[in-house]
Amino acid sequence: MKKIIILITITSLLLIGCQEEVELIHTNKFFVAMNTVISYQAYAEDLVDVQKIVEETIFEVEETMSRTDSNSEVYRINSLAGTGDKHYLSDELADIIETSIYYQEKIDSLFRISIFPLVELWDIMNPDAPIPTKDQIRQAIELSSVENIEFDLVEKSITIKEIGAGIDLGGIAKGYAADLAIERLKEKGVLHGFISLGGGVQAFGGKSNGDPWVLGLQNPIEPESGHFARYEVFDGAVVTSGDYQRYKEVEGIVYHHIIDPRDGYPVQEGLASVTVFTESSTEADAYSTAFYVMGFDESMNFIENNESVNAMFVFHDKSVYLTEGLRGKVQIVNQEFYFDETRR
Amino acid sequence: MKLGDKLIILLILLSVIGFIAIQLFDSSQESQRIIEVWFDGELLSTHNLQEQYREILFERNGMRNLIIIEDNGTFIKEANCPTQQCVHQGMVTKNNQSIVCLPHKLIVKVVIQESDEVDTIVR
Repeated sequence: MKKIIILITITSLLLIGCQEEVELIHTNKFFVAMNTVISYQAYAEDLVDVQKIVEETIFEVEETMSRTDSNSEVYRINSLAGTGDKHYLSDELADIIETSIYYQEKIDSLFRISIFPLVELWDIMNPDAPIPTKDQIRQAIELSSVENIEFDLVEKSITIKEIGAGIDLGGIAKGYAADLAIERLKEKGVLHGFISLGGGVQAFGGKSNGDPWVLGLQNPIEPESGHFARYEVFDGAVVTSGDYQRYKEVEGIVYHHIIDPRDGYPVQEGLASVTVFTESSTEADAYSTAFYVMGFDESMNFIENNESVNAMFVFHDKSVYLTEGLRGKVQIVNQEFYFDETRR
Repeated sequence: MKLGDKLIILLILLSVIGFIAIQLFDSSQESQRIIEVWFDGELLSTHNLQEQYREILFERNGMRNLIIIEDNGTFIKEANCPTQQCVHQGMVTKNNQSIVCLPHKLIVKVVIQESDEVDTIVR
C-alpha cells in the first residue's frame, strides 16, 4: 500500500509540474491612436493593469506631441512662430526635443524636427490637399531650416523664429511612446512583452516561456501579401520606413510621406524600405526615417562608423541587403526576395 | 500484489493517459481560423473565417462599416468614414493581417493560429 501512496504522490507531483509555475496573465490587445494601429502583448501578474499603463502612456504622448490637435503642446508652440515669444517646455517634451536634436546632429539634419513646414505643405494624409508648387516648396525648404528653432536645454525653452516655421515630431514620437510605455511596464515588474506601433516594434524579455518574440517583416512591395521575412528578438527595437506606408495618389503619381528636406519632395526613386534594428525604438524611429532619405550608400557610410546600429535595406527588385550584425538572423520566407551582399 | 492494488495502479495509468490526451486535444483545439473585430481597444467579436459569404455590420455612434467574410478572407465593403481607406484596402487572408479604419478606430484582423507563426508584423 505504501508503494501505491508513493506512486500516487509522484504522479500528482508530475501532473502539477506540467502546469505553469507562476500565474502570469497574458494580454494581447489592439487599439487605434497616433493615427495608426497599436498592438501589444505582455505577461504580467494579475495585479498589474497592462492595458491602463500602455494606453495612458500613448494617449499622453499623443496629446503632447500631435501636430494637428489644437490642444497639444506642440500645436501651441507652433502657433507662437514668429512672435518672438518663448515657450517653456514640459519635461517630457523637453526630453524628446533634446533627444531629437541629438540624432539630428549625428545625421547631418536629414532627420529634423524643423521639417514641419514641408509636412504641413504636402499634407500627405489629406487626399484633398493639392500638390504644392515649386515656389511653395522653395519657401517651405527655407522655413524648414534647423536654424529656425532655438532650443535652450538649461531653461527648457523653445522659440520658433519665423512665421510658418515649427516643429513636427512625427518621425520620432511613436518610438518615444513605445520606449516610455515599456519603461513604465518594467517599473511595475512586467518582464515580458512587446509594443507594435506604426512601423515599429519594441520587444522586451522575450516570452514568459523563454522563447523569443517572432516578428514578421512586411513585404514593402506587395504590402497586402503579408510578411516576407522573419526575425526573432528578445530585447530590442525594429522600425521600418518605406514608401508604401502612407501615401496618396494624384493623377497617377504616388506621393509618399517621407520628405527629403534638401529638395522638399517625397524621396524619389528610393528604397522600397529600410528597417533599423537597435536597442531603443526612439533611436530606431529617427534612424529609419533618416536612412530612407539618405539612401543605401550614404546610410552604409554612417552605419559602418556606428556599430550599435544594424539595418536591412529592401530594394524594388526584391533584393535585400543586411548589415553584418543581422546576417543569419533575418530569414526570408517569401522566396521572391533574395539576399544580395554584393552591393557593398 | 493484491487485485485492489492492481486496480489502483491501472486507475493511475488511465488518469495519466487521460491527462496527456486532454493536453493534446487542447492544443489541437488551438489551431483556428478566425476574424477578430476590435473597436477602441476592445475585442468586439470573433467570427470563423470561412468560404461562405457572410456580412457583419459594425454600427456605433453613427459610424458604420460593412464587413464581409468570404473565400477564407475578409474585406470592408462599405463605410461612412471620410477617407474610405478601409474600403480601398481590399481583402486580407493571411495571419496577422488587418484592415484598419482609422477614423472609426476599427480594426478587423485575421488570426490563423496554425499558420507560419509570427507574433506581430513590423509594417
